[in-house]
Parts: sequence; C-alpha cells; structure tokens
Amino acid sequence: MKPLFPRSQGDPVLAIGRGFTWAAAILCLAPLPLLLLVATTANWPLGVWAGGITGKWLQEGWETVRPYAFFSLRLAGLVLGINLAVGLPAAWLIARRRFVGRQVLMALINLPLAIPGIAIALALILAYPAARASGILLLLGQVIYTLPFLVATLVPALAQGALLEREAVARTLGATFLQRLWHVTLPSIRSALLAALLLVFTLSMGEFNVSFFLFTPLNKTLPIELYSAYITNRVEVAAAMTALFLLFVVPAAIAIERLGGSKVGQA
Amino acid sequence: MGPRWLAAPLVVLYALGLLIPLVVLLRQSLLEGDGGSLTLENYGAVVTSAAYRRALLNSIWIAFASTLLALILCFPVAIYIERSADPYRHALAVALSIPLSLPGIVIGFFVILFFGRTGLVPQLFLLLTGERQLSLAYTFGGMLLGYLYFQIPRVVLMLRGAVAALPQEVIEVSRTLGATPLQVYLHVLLPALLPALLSAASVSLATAFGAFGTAATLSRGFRVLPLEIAASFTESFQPGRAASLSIVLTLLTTAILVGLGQVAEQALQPQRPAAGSSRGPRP
Amino acid sequence: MTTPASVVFDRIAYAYIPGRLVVEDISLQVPAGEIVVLVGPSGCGKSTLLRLVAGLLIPAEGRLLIDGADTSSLGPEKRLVGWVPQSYALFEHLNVRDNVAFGLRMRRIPRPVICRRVTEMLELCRIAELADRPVTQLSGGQRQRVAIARALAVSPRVLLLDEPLAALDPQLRAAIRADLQALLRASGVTTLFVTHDQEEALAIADRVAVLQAGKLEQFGTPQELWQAPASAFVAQFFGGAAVFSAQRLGPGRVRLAPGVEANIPWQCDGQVVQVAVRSGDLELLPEVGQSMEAGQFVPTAVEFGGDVFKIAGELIGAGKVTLLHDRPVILGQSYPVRAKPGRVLSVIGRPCHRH
Repeated sequence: MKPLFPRSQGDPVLAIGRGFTWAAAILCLAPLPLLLLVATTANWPLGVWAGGITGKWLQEGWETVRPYAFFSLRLAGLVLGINLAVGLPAAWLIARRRFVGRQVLMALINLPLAIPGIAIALALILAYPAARASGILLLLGQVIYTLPFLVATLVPALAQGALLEREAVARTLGATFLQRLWHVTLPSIRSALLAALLLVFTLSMGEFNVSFFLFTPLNKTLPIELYSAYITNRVEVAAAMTALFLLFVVPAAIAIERLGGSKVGQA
Repeated sequence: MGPRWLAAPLVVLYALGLLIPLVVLLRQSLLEGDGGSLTLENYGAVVTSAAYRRALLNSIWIAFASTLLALILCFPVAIYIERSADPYRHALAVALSIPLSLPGIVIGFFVILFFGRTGLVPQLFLLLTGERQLSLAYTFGGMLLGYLYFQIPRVVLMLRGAVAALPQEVIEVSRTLGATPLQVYLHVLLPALLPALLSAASVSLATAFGAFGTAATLSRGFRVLPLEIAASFTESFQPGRAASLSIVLTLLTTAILVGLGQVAEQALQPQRPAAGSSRGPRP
Repeated sequence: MTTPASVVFDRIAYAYIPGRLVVEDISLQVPAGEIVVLVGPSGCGKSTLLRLVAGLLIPAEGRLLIDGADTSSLGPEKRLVGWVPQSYALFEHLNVRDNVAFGLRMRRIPRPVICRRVTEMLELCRIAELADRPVTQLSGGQRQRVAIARALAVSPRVLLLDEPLAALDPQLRAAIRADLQALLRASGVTTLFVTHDQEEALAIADRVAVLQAGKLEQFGTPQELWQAPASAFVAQFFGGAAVFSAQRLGPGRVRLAPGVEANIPWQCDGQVVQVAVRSGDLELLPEVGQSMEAGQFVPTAVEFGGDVFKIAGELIGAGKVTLLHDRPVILGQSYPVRAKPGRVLSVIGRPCHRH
C-alpha cells in the first residue's frame, strides 16, 4: 500500500485519524481486562482486588452457566445445520441464475434485517402459541435471524467470475458436476464458507433479542442467563459468567475478522 | 427439478417463520384488548399515551445521537486504517472488531462495570476526590456510551470498504492540484464517500432503533420503544399493544433503511447535466 | 501562463521497500519547454520518477530541482506541477467543468477568473461541449482530455503524463497522439511523458530517456537513440533490432556474417563492433544474379503486414533477424541475403568519435 503522504512529511489529518483510531481501539479493548479484574476480585464494591484475588466467582459462574452454555452450543449447531441446508442452495441459486423474481427473493431473504428482533419473536409467539414450550420457536427465530448473514456471505463467493471460469475450464476438461463441486467450487469458497459458519455460530451464541421472548425454562440460552445475572446477581459473579461467555465468542470473532469479516451481531 | 426449486425450502421456512407470523402480528395489533373486534385503538394509544410518545422520542434521540457520533468518530478512523502505512494498523483494526460479536446485554454490562454505582470510574473519583462522580450507567449518557460502543465497529467496517475502493490516485491528484489535507477531506473524501456514509447511517439508525438488549440492561427510567414492547407483552399482557408498537417500530426501521438507502443510491448518481445539453449514452 | 520550468534529476534514487531500489542514480536534465519521454519496459521505474517530480514521493537519495530550486521541502500542493496518472483519476462526483476548475478552486482563485480559465481550457482541449456532463458518462479519450485540461488549468510549470494513451483503443491511439502532441506544443509547457511504447516515444519526443530496471540507459534525441544506441537494450527496444558482433573490414565497413558485408558510420573504430540490424537493413536477393556475394537466410516465421511480409529467420553465421519482403517465402528453405545497399547500420556503444 503506497503511503498517502510520504513519511517524512507528517500529515495532520492522518494524525487525527491515528489518534481517533487509538482512542477507539482502547475503548473497545478496555472492558476486557476490567472484566477479568472484577471476575477475580473477592469484593468488588470495595475496590480492585479488594478482599483478595480469587477464582471462586469463576468457578461459581461456570457451575451456573454450564448447562446453558451447552444448550446454546447445541442450539447453535442446529441453527448452523439448518442454515446450511436451506441457505446454501438458495445462495447458489441467487449467485448463478437470473430468473423472474430474483430481486423479490433477495429482498425476502434480507427482510429479517429490517425487522427488530423482538418484533420477530413476538410475531412467532402470537402465530404459534402452542409451539412455544417445545423450544422450536426459539430455533425458528434464530434461523430466520441468521439466514440473511449466511446468504450475504456466500453469494459473493459463489458468484466470483474467476471461480465460474475455473468451473467452466474444468468442465471442458471433462469433470462432472460432482467433481467440479468437490475439486473446484468448495476449495474456492472455503474461506467464505468458514466465515459464514463462524458468523452464524457467533450470532446464535450471542443472540438475545429474539431469544428473550422465545425461551422457556427448559430451553434457555446462555445470553438469557447472563441477562438475569446482570439484573439479580452480584457483579463479580456476573463478570465471571460474562468472561466465560466471551471465551466462546471472541476467538470465533477474531477468526471471522481474519477471514475477511462481515456485519455481525445485534444491539 | 428446475434450479428455482433450490430456494423452495428457504421460501417455505420464511413463509412459516416470518411472513405468516407478521400477518398474525398485524392482525393482533388491530384487535381489541380481549381479542374482540377490529380496532385502531392500539395504534391510537401510541399517539395518545404520553409514555409511548416519550419512548418513541427517546428512541429517536438515542438512535440519531449515537449514529451521528459514530459517523464523526469513525470517518477518520476508516480513512486512517485504509490509507496509512503504519504497520500496526491491522492490529488496531482487529481490536476495533472485537465488539462486533458481543450482544447488547454484554455491552450494557460493560457500561455498568465502568460507570455503575460500583463502577471503576466512580471508584477512581471516590479515591481521588472523595466524591463519587460519573456514575452514569443508568442515565442517557450511559446508554449513549453503550450504543456508541455497539455502533463503532459496524460503522468502521461499512466505511472501510468504500474508502478502500476510492482510488489512491484521485487523492494524490487532488494534492498536486493544490489541495491541502483539510481540503482533501472536505472536497474529495467527503463527497466521494457520501453514499457510504449515508448507507452506514441508515443501517446504524435502524439497528439502534431495534436495540433491545442494551436498553434492557441499562435503562432505569430512560424508556425506549423496544422496552415498551417487552413490557406491554410480558408485564401487562396486552398483546395488542405490544403488536402495534412492534409494527410501528418495524415500519420505522424499514422506512429508514429503505429511505436512506435510496438517498445513498441517489448520491451515487453523478450531477445531472444542465437542461439543454445532450446526454450521452451510459457506459 | 506560468513560464515553463526546467527539471533536473541529480543522482535520484528511490525505494518503496527499504533495500529494494526502484530507481537508482538517475541524472537527467530536462530543458524548459521540451517534451521529454521516459520510456522502458514495465517496472523500470518511470512512473516513480513522475511521482517524485509531483512531490508524492521524496527521493531517498539525490536532489530534484525544478527551475533550479531544490524541491525536497516542497509538498505537492506547492510545486505547481500538473500530474495526469494513468487512470486519469477524475473526480467522479463532479462534472467536467468542476473537474477542470478543481485546482483553481483549491487555490482560492476568484470565481470570474476561474470561469474564464476553465472555458479557455475546455476550448483548448476541445471538450467545450462536454462541460456539464458527469464524468462517468465519458469515453476514454474524452476522460483523457478532461484530465489534461484539469492539469493545465492551474498553469503548471511542468506537466506529467503517465501513459496517457495506454488506456485507449489502439485504433484511436495514433490520432489522439497527434492531437496530444499539437496541444502540448501549443501550450509550450515542459512535459514529462511516460510510455512503454517505443513508437510513441520516438514520435512525440524532443528527447527520450530510456530506463531499464531503475537505471538510465540513454538520454538523447530520437535520432540519436536510433542511430547511436548506447547499449544492446536500447537498440533492441527501438525497432526490435538484432544485435551482433561484426568484424571491421576497414573504415565504415564490417562483415556481419559469412557473405554479408554492411556499412557502418565511417568514424567508428575497433576490431569488433556491436551492430544493430533492423528489419529494413537486410534484403533477400533476387534469384537471378547469383554471382554476387551473399549470405544465407533461413526463414522460420512469416507475418503479413499489409504492404510487406515480415519474415523472421536465421542469418547463418550471425543469429536471428527479421527482414521485409514483398512476397511470402518457404519456411526452412535457404535464401541468399545481403545488406541493403546504401543503408548504414547503427553501432552500439560509443566507439564512434565525432569530429
């Protein structure tokens, strides 16, 4: 990347950008060490590490969140599976075929992005009140919420001109459809596919707005449990639970960024 | 099996999981409290009830404030990350993207950790000045901070793509034509990135309006619309109210997305030629 | 109009990545008002030199003087050079008129002056009828003219053109090149023109600087480069010459290959000379008259070039050459060949003294 302004000539406006960026980066990262501080302080209201450094909050936190963490993981897995099964073929279709109604389909797929999560959840409950207890609404809501992201990540990868050319060349060299799929297409979209899966995983693990209305005592996700901790529990144990939650999502988020990044998450 | 059937499972899923429920939602919003006849009473309540009006205004306030601040902050950041040659800028970019994966409730909790009653900042003030200051987690300021924390990585991401797409040579040429760095920002970067800024603004606003987790964690009096929706359903068991509020909120976010999105599209168009001169064919 | 300035490169070196010099020890003097072409293969550093003059890069070594003044402390905003990059870099959000006016606006010139100047430029570059059109609707040739008008509008002391014709369709190139040359002569501004097309360089330049791998191979008029190339590279670059060692037979005469004798400038001395053999230097003998001394030529490829056939092949005893003929030939068959009478081959290097 050529420097915009030669290094020996300091650029005042890039310097502002540099300052802002450092400030923003510190802002974004600062909560993490604080979280750990609080999670390991015996008595936080009295100060940092007042009462000593302790691991008991983390232990207690883990005991509390463990069942919900595993539930969230299982849910995320199901959401991933359904997303792939339903979204990948649709992404293929959109990326490679022109047909009447393509624009409508694209608008439909992106519709959940325009609708607040609580509205989606509320609509589901009102439509299928009987299904709520089984937890299937929770699954459905999360799938609807995450599908647009999966499709949005996969469509550009599948539509790449260079990939289509390679597939065409493979075809002239005698490869069948399945051979092309395995040897040409999948390797080419590997990083986009991985990013999409990580994205759906992260979105599902951290999903709150939709889950808030749709969870049941038997189908409770980790974020819901976190929320109740924030409202009712001691700040130390809540911090510990949050730190454990971050262990599940931050590595995935970093991996997504390294793979190219995309829009994520919800307020 | 024609190729169109590839999308069939998805369409069925959407129909069951989104379209039908939305219709039900709409219907519910038009029903009287006990499920009786059709009425506009629920929508009327949005207008007449002071609480709901307040919530709508608060939502507008915080959405616009956080979006504006995020845009002002992130514009130079995006330009710096994409245009500078500093070797550590990638590490900074990764740091900025960490909050992308965090749900709103966690961000709210972070604000509590810093600015709650026992937060780090008030404790520091207590230590230094003897007075507990800046305990603003549950105020508008605290919520704004939370919303901002949420917006920053998204806005940076949305702007970076557009900045990267701006050819390096356009900026260099403007310098050789005599533009000072400030003039480069005002006359080249800002106009060229206006569509991206508008687009980022539309997504930010829509997300901020629909934000629930952050508000749920941080609000103690500053009510926003999503909170009213939750309250009217889970606390006061008025599905009709909840439904109408949801529809209003949905219309709001959709209007912003589509409306500002269109404005962004328009901004992408070049200036219209003056009347009378011939318009050449589009490339 | 600002008076045109001279440009002096004094032992200039630059590296994008520390340790890897992109240009090295470049010393050139560009007289005011001249069109100097920087030519060479891709990656030889010619665009870098333009950026150095524009002030977008600072030399790692050496000095750059514009009109005799050292520019190392001068940013691009202050140098008064007009830079036209290869992509033209028009401001997409503005129309043609506003693009051309940009530099004047940045320098806070009063509006009526801007208006007048812009109109002048639009006329000069023959784009007046496009004035209100958005630049996104222009063709390649039109964009090029807007970019040049924009650069000239601020009355630069030096004009820098980076491969201005490379993006255009080949058919248009020759015509637009002629237009461009007329424009540059009319404005009289010192011009540094970068291209990788040797034909373009010879056509348009007052002087040519040949660069290869960051080093200056030769700097001189087109005639000098053609007739007295400083190195084999320069000879091969212009006209695709084949370079051979030839035995000198006496003043002005060499043996190129068994049976082929040729003329060289008579001042050259040395037992062995490097000569450049171009496609017009050799000819196939007619079948009749085989008593004449001749060399042997074996064609390997034939191209139809409209007026003539361009034949590549092996000159026995020397190497690969191309020559022109009015009829096709049979590949692999040996033909008698001689140097065209009256032609003088170019000699490489400087073994030729001038008196």
